[in-house]
Amino acid sequence: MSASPATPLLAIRSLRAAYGKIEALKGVDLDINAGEIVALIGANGAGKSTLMMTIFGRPRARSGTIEFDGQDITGVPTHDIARLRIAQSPEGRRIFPRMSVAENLQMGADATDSSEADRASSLERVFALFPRLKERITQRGGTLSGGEQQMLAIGRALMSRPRLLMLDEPSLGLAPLIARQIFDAIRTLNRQDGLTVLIVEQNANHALKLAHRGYVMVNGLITLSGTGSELLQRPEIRAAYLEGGRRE
Amino acid sequence: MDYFAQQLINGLVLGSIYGLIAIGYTMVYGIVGMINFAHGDIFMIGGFIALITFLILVSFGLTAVPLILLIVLLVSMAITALYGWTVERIAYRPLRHSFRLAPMLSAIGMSFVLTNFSQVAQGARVKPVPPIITGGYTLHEGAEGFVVQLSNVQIIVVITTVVLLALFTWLVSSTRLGRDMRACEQDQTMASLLGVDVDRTISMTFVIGAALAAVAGMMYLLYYGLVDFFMGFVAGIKAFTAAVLGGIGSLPGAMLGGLLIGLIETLWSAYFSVEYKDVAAFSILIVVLIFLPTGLLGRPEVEKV
Repeated sequence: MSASPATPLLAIRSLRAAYGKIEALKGVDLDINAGEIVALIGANGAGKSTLMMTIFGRPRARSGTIEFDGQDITGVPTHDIARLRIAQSPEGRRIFPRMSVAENLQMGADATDSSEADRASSLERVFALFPRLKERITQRGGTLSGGEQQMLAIGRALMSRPRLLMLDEPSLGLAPLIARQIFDAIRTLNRQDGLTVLIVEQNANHALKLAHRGYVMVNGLITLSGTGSELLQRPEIRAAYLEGGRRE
Repeated sequence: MDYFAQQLINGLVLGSIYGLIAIGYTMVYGIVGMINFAHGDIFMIGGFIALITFLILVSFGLTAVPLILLIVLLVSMAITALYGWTVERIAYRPLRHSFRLAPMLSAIGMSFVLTNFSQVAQGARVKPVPPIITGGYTLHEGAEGFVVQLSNVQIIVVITTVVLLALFTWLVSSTRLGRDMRACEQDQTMASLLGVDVDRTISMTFVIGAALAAVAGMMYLLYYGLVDFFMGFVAGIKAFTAAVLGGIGSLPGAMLGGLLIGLIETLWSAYFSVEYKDVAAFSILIVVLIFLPTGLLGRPEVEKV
């Protein structure tokens, strides 16, 4: 099944999910079209990371549907979702600390049973984006600096040659210069390779400038959506997310 | 000196057997965080399957010893692995998201099930076999007439252990399955986000652990010339002690711990008293737990599965 231009690559409808008794997603609708960068912004605890993990079935949706490329993946096992070439650089990076950088990247390539040629070209692409990783290739993941771990998490996700790349707070804890590098890398991947990206950020300014479209999430619900520049103009967005969180 | 050398050889052979069992404990602990108390009984099952296979082959008139040993090894590994897989599937997997003690209790239950099943199916008496491998080498003849010997069985036990460990180390460090196992050990959620089937990987861990225990069971049969339904209990606890001594979760630690326990037990029996050999082994465990709670090699940087 391949999606016609009208159907989005990822379509989320009335999605609800919970951790135990705490409902984290209370009926979320969200679309991502192929070739788009979509930003998801919101305060801490709004449910952004939960949404990304629920797409992978961790936790499982209580109700609602998630469709990827026209296929309902709401009940598909997590590891089979990864095989559809959806990749995630998750909250907290989750680098394998006792594996080398090379092995961490190999884990990404294994996700989609890449051929040797694909693996080599993906590796080249990752090293072109993050030359730092090449210098650290034999070092253990756990010994990398925060910024290097972030690069590794994104690099690992790219190794599976994803059709949808999901990035959770890629600039968190990074020096502004490195954060800029990472945003530039995402833009390059999107323009050159048509990579579809869902990016979760607290740094709303950066994310909305990068994204074609954005969604704002509050307490497990989408409260606003629009193009990146539209959202940047909204006074309530400026107040809540761009100007130090001051209320009007 | 000759006496000491002889005991050293005996201790290393016994230690190899403990080490092979200890790997199963440490591997399962690393990946699912539980102590598989039924693992000693899996070792016992391996010994019985080796015995049964051996008797069947001999009753068919097979006499080529190397061929017999190879077939016994493979059959015993395969069937015991199936036991390991089944135990995990029916007794541990359904409890994986239950409270932490649940799989542990279930493991103790499985241990009883396997022990009693063997007792009922095979009888309670010790099952002896005539020596399958005979002969050996005299390494040194002392002045007082004490002879240091290295028997062919001992050579086979040590060589088999070394070869299997090399294979196993290669599997864990350089194959996709090994990488998946280490990924599951370090972060199961992330592993599944990268397409690793965590349930299948855990099953494979039990299968490999059981296959190694089967080899230990067969070596025990060859070395001591007997098996019985209760042998898994003490051997299992000793191997568990070895795993803790080496640092639970650490693969080289399990092997090192196995060798040390084998040596301590043998040397204690040789110089002090045979009756208290188990006391010696377990006292060492207590001392290690007090002064070195993570074991000898149980540091976080150590490669674990």
